Amino acid sequence: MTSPARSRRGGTHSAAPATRSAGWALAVILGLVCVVAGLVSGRPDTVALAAPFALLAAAGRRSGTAPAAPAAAPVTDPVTGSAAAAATPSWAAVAVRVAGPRDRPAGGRLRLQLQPADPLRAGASSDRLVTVLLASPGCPPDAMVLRAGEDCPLLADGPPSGEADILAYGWAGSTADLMEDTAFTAAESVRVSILPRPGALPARPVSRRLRGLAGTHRSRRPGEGSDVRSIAPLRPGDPLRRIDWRATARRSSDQDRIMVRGRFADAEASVFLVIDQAHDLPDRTADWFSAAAARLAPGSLHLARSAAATVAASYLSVGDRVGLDDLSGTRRALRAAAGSRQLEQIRARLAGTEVIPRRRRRRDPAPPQGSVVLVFSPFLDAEAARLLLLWRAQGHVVAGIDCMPPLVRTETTAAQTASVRLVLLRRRLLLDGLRRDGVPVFTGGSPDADVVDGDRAVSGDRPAGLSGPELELGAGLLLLSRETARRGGAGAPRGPVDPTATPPRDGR
Amino acid sequence: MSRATRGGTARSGRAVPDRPGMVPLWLVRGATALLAVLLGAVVWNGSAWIVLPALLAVGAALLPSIGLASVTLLLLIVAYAVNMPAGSPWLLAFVAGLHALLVLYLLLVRLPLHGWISRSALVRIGVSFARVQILAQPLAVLALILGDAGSSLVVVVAGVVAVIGWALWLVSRRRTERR
Repeated sequence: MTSPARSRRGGTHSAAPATRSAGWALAVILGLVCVVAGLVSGRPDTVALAAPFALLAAAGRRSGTAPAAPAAAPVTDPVTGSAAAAATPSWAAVAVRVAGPRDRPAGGRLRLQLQPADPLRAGASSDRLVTVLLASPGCPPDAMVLRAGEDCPLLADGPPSGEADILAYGWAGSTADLMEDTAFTAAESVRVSILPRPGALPARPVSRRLRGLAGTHRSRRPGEGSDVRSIAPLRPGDPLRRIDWRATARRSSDQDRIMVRGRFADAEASVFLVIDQAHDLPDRTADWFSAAAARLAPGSLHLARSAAATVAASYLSVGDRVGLDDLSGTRRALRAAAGSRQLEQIRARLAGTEVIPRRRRRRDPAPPQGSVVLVFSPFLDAEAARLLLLWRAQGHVVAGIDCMPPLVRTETTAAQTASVRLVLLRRRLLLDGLRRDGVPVFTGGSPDADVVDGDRAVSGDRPAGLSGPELELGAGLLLLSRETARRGGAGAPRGPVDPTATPPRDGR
Repeated sequence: MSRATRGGTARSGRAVPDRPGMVPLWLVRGATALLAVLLGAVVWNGSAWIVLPALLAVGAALLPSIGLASVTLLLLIVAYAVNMPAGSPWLLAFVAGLHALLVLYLLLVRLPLHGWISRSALVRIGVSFARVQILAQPLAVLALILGDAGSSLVVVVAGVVAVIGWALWLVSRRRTERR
């Protein structure tokens, strides 16, 4: 899905009013050659060859001396803040906007709308052409010649998620006889923001230390939930509506004691998602070393966005609270909250994540007490592992989500191969160390596939246990939820929960 | 143009138009090269030397070089002046062909190799071409008349008067349309 996509248009960098083209000079030269050749050879038919060239030159000379078409107002340069020095003729201006559809399929193409200005509204004749040059990232430029004022829809590749420049473009205008043209005007790139799509909702492991008095999880505290905790004789202060008449009839044969039913309190889980945005590794290893414009291919950051959106949607669908932070420490953490609006905020925040080098921060991120902490990282350095161990020691339920995409080994040199092997070896050591220390690490799934359903994943050939290698996100979370439920005896959902249920609206 | 040429079929990463009525530029380049070779074949009249201007014409249609386009057009004009007999009816085809070649080369010379042009833009170019030809063709016919009946003063004067009258009528009609 695209967020309200931005198409930054119109910053004119080099523009000039229409002038005679090189074709006008060529027409003059060809006409003179015909006339001279005809006069020298004494042949009027050779002189007649000059007729179209002379007429074209006359048309170009007339339009070149005519007053220029109205020009668009100068556009302020968004970078420098200064007005552009020259304005382009308004009939030649072209805008590109994102035309939707908003809910495009994964891997689909974005629909853009190319809109040259209306020449009649700009005070020019409609007898004009507009040439638009388009360049997608990593592709050579293409041309599109349109009549002035003629729209043209485009299909362009967009990123699988996140923000990216998807199209650089510029334009030049000319008359239909091509004797007059305008200078090429470059516009700012079209930038879009694609929200990550939540996949199939996985299981929801929760901490033993649940908080709050509302939610779908059973806490260990007595309260007003629906799960029965005990049946005991009525004591002063017990509300009368807790009286269990069946239990009274069963246990108090002489009717001298009245039995009341005690219940567990309901509680909500708190989840803290942490994104490691220091790296974005493409699936093709040759692209790790490429200095060219990045392809719009899924990378580790896209995997992290998708997995985080899936986990957030899963918890928020049952009324839990979800917060979001990043390891780079560039933005304030998104505080844990519940509701559908929180899901949209998380997706928008995830879409805005881009590669930012990790900077030194005064103190480590602090998850809320009793929360489940999930770190989404490709685990290329020790920072994510260090924080996972730290939070685990503080009593949180922690898990790492390995967001390295399935790699396609396309290195071209021995040095590149050695570098990739070293990176993968270091990663393997980090992951093995985490698993040895009891921190579960799951794979984030394939970049274009939804996170698999937990039950189906567990029923396969995978080893049953959190220490098993290469557990996928759905299966890993299911095992982790069983593990936490077995250890704590609390935090289990209150009953069958519809995983497709939408989160309650604004239930913060 | 059919939907098959609308570019959305292959995931090449390029931005492609998503509507009918877009003509790929390779078709225009091919037509331009073919037109230049056909005109060259007429004036070179089966000589093996046609290979050279043909190569130039194809190169001018593919490469963004105004020099190649100029040399190709000059070769055609000079070859016509040298090889074509006076009074040949091929003059009418050459007046239109050279004009079309100039316009097509000027269109292609500033475009990258890959792209599209809309049908309505081609129609605009065609209308502009026809506006010039509507005056250039009578001039070519007058030149043929002058070549054939140069000694007959009456025919020459009648032809000149007719062309001038035609030109004046066109100019006055254009002015009326503008108002």
